[in-house]
Amino acid sequence: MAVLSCTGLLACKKDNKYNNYTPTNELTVVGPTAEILIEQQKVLTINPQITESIQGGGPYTYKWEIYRSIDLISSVEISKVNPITTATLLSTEKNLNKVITTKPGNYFVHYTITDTKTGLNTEVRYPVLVTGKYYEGWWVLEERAGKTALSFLRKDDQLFNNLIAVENPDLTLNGKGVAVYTALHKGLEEVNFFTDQEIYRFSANDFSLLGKSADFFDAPISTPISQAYYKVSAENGPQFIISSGFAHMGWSPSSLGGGPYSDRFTGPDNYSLFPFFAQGASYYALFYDNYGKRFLSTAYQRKNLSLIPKNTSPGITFDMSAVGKTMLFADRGPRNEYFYLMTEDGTDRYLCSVFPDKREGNGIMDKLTNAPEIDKTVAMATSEVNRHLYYATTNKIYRYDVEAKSAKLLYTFPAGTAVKDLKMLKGQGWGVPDLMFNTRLVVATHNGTEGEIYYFDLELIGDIKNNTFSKKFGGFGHIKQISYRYPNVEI
Amino acid sequence: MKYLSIILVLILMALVSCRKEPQSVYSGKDGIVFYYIQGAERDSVYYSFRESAVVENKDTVWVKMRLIGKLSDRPRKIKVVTAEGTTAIEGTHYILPEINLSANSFLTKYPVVLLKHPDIEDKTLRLKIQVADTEELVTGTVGHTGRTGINLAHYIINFTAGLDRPNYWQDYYLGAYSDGKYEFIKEVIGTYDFGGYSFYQFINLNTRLNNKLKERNDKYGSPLLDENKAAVTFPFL
Repeated sequence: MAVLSCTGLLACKKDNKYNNYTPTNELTVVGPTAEILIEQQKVLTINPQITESIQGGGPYTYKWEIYRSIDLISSVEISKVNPITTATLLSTEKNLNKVITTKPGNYFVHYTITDTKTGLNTEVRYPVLVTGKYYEGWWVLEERAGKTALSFLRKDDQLFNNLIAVENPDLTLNGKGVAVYTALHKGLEEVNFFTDQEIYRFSANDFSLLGKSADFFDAPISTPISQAYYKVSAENGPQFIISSGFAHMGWSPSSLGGGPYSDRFTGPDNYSLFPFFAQGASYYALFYDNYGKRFLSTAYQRKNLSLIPKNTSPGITFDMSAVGKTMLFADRGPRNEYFYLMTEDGTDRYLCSVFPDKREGNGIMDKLTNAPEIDKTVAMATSEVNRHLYYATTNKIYRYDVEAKSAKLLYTFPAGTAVKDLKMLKGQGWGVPDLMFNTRLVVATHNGTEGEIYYFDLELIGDIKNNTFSKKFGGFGHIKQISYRYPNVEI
Repeated sequence: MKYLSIILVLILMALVSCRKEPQSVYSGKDGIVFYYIQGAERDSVYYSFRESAVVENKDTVWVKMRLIGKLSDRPRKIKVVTAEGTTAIEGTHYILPEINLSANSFLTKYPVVLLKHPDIEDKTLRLKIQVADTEELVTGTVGHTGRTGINLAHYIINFTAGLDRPNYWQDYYLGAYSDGKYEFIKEVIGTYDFGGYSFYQFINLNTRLNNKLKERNDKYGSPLLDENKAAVTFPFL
């Protein structure tokens, strides 16, 4: 007990005999405070202000590295137990002035200053978003002087004309442009560009050519290609191409590295698919056969178009196995309800809907008697917030309210202007959310002299804000189609 | 005293443990074995004269062999004979030549010569081979070697002059095997050999075969029949 008491007393004794504390030089680094946005292949410059707590420190060495969060073993902080495993050294200069060549994505630029006299490190890092040149915006498929061209209207309103020729000067397109679709999911950043003779696959980031049909089809695709459509499945597995009435399936790179597209799906004799399909919990992929005038479906990873069982329930709005109408336009509405504009005899128009999440998938089948000029529709899009259908005739935009069963004229373009395409800016169901989704209608027109793109922003109730467009872009050729390029999805 | 004894024993054990172990080296006759690489290869092979790209009356199947033992600066004779379970007849259906393992070499390929005799048009024969001991080389140690290598005492060759269900045939994608169906597949894809197909290629093959079969049947107005007079079909996936 006495020894323990003495030890305790000695522990309390102030010891200032053997340790002298000398203040060390500490550095304060002031650099960018917000996320840095840099386009791939552009120079990233950071000139941090460095202040010493004690003058005359150093000499210093400097190190700039770039890495992603997933390059760290755990968490997002670098430490001895959590080192960078695959960082790229950018520079050993005091200031960073370096071309960024990493692929698009979210990164950290990590700055380390080492005082060679004391060996102490001062470290700061800056979040950096590296984007491709064509990171988000609208692809505009057009014809200029009879030749197919593709332009890109970027989200920041910068316009890039004729980018196939600009980015691939040695490429001569085989055939006339038919459609363009972005293939965007985790690890999938491509653009499928259809001509009537060929499908081209480009990088969505820099638009470099990645391949042609023969490179990603097991068997030659039927030509001429028409009525082309592309969509990757929600779970980033199968990818679908519909072309000339036939469906083909390939696999996204996230599925064991990806796989080639199949030959056309097997199915009922002479089937001819409308270029669109719905996906849901009960119907993995729900197609519409304009030859048999009925819905057909396939199960996951299957390539045989199966007949829908006949629905004999009393009081049903329609039987999906025997619709008896021709599909003209299609788009997805709220709560995964898919809307289809159909005709029976070429004059009457019907609004049909299905719920692919339900086994009894049939929704409405309304004859449109209170929708002016619906028989002159050239393009259609639906909101995913309201049960609203927007349709464009030659030079007018109408909104059809599914609940009220009536249409309202929203906008009239000047005489001589013809609508070529109309799309709702909406999400894919995955990826980066955007507050603008379902609040902007985008319309492509031709005014007799040049092609134009209009942005119409919508009120919550679905009307056009201020009854006019919010932005307008001219200088295009004859626009055939517009299609959205979504931002990359972080892996 | 008791503790002192324990400490002394421990010190002695420690000293003994420091004694150098003799080098562990192989001694005895040098051996030779068949071998294959797991994943890419198998312990047997199927061969069909009909499926061969070049139609001949004889062909050679090369079987990989490796030395288990020391290199030699002179060639050494390798003798291969049949093992129990062989249904083929030497001189009629096959030849097993004597070859040499080259000087300073530990790998070679043994040439099994297969003969196309009329009696194998409609049947598959089995040739099971093994190393015969000689003065210079005996059967080496078998089993796993390295990460993926497998040393074998026996190697099996199944061969025919007709068609037979290949070991990579998958009923799920292709349905039940028949020679007629196999011939049709060859007609569509240009080869009998699709053993290297990936999962995706197998699924796609099914779709392509169904489409081609429908085209063919529509063209002739009657279904394609196999050797059993049964209509050729593929599952709809």
